[in-house]
Amino acid sequence: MTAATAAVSALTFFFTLTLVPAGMPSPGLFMVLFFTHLGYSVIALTSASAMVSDLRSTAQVFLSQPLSRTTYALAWLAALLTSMLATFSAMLLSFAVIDPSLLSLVGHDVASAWLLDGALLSLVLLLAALWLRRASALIAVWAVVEFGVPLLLSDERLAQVAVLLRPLYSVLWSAMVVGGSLLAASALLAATLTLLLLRLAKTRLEV
Amino acid sequence: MIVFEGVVKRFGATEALRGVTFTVPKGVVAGLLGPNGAGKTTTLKISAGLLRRDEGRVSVLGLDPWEQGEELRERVGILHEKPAYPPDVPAKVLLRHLARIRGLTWEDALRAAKLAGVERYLEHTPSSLSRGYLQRLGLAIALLGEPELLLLDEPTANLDPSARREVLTAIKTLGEEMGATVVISSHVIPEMEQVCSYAVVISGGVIAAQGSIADLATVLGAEVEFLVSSRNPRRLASLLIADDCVRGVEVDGERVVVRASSRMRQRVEALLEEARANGLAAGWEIRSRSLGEVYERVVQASR
Repeated sequence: MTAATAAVSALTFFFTLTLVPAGMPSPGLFMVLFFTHLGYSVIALTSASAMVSDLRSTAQVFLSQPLSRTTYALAWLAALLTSMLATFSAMLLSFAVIDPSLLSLVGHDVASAWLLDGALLSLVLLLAALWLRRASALIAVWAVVEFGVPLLLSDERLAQVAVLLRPLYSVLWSAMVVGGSLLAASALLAATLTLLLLRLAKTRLEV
Repeated sequence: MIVFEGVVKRFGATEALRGVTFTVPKGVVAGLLGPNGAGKTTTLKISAGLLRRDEGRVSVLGLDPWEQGEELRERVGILHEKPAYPPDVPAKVLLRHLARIRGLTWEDALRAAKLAGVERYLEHTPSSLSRGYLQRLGLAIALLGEPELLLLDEPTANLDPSARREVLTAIKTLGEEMGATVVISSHVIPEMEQVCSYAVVISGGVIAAQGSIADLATVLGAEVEFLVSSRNPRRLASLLIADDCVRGVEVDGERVVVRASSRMRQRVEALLEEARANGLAAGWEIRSRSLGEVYERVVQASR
């Protein structure tokens, strides 16, 4: 997968994002989903920072074994995605305990979008960890993805519901509220970023 | 075993290796010698496929380390200069995990621990191990699967004298027992004299000299040492010391240690042949105790 293909995929994703009309979940559910996402984003940032730290220390012991660089990167991705699934499951479990009927509000499209959004954030952070190798740079990337870009691309139609939270919207998170038609674009972007991560690990992961 | 041809490695604007070319033959204990910052660690890491070369060709055990690193590292053990282990994971758990990555059993891991002399400390965590035993744990990790090639980066760095002796003895024993090719990077020449039979001297990112230590000593006119076994060492010693080609003679049990300039190597060998014919000498081997001298001459010449 070339960088050009990745760029086209990313542009397709963002282009679709701005054109598809929004279909919001209820404000209450939205806030729960949003704060759960924010919680996961902190977990993802911590994990990616741990990867940066590992690359400077214990990684050379493990990569001195018959282990490929792509396997190493995939192991970190698997760890992040497992954390993400655990976070999402914890949220659903809370719904089930409080009021099982709340579970019906989380449709497959909302769940898919939430998971895709988390996966995209994980991939962006792992790419940044592998490329930049600095925890401070990672925090900057996290802040831009989670707060900076949403601020720039915020949609007026969302303003009435989430005027206070708008600066906190992730552009990837926004994908969730605009309906199922965007999921394919998100999935394509996730696949592209995964290939980029593997490519970067294969060609640049030095310890 | 290891072939480097015109290898260049850059870190940003810094050129760590500037067209490095050398070979390490199979079965030797080779010293990769050079001052701090000469490019020793970079060379070892490129050999293990942990760093990518920018130019040139590298072949280790017939494989390209960067492209075929996974396959290569099944046959190579590596001890890093400053290895970092998960601080709170017991050595036993770490060793078992790394053995599993290599497809080995716990028995294999235990054998490596015994070879490295760390088996009594396997319940300890790395944070509670002394530096000497951390190095031994590193050695045990490097020995997993009894590799064909051992790459040891400054194995005695930061150790106290007794730990240095222990680790060096362990390396020497391992080289002999396992028959593996060993490459040790170091700038502590007296220690390398004790274990190495081959040297690659690197200085400023270029190879200054390479070859067996005896050959290097001959080329550079440094001192060589003959270890002669004899049934009558005192008589042999008195015979040899009378010849002006010999610089010094020492009796060590049933052996006579003869020191001479490498330029006199053939003449001393002729003397020893004569002694063997007379039944005074049973056999001998040539070593160089003058690696320091060789190293100094090479590094000075390369400046």
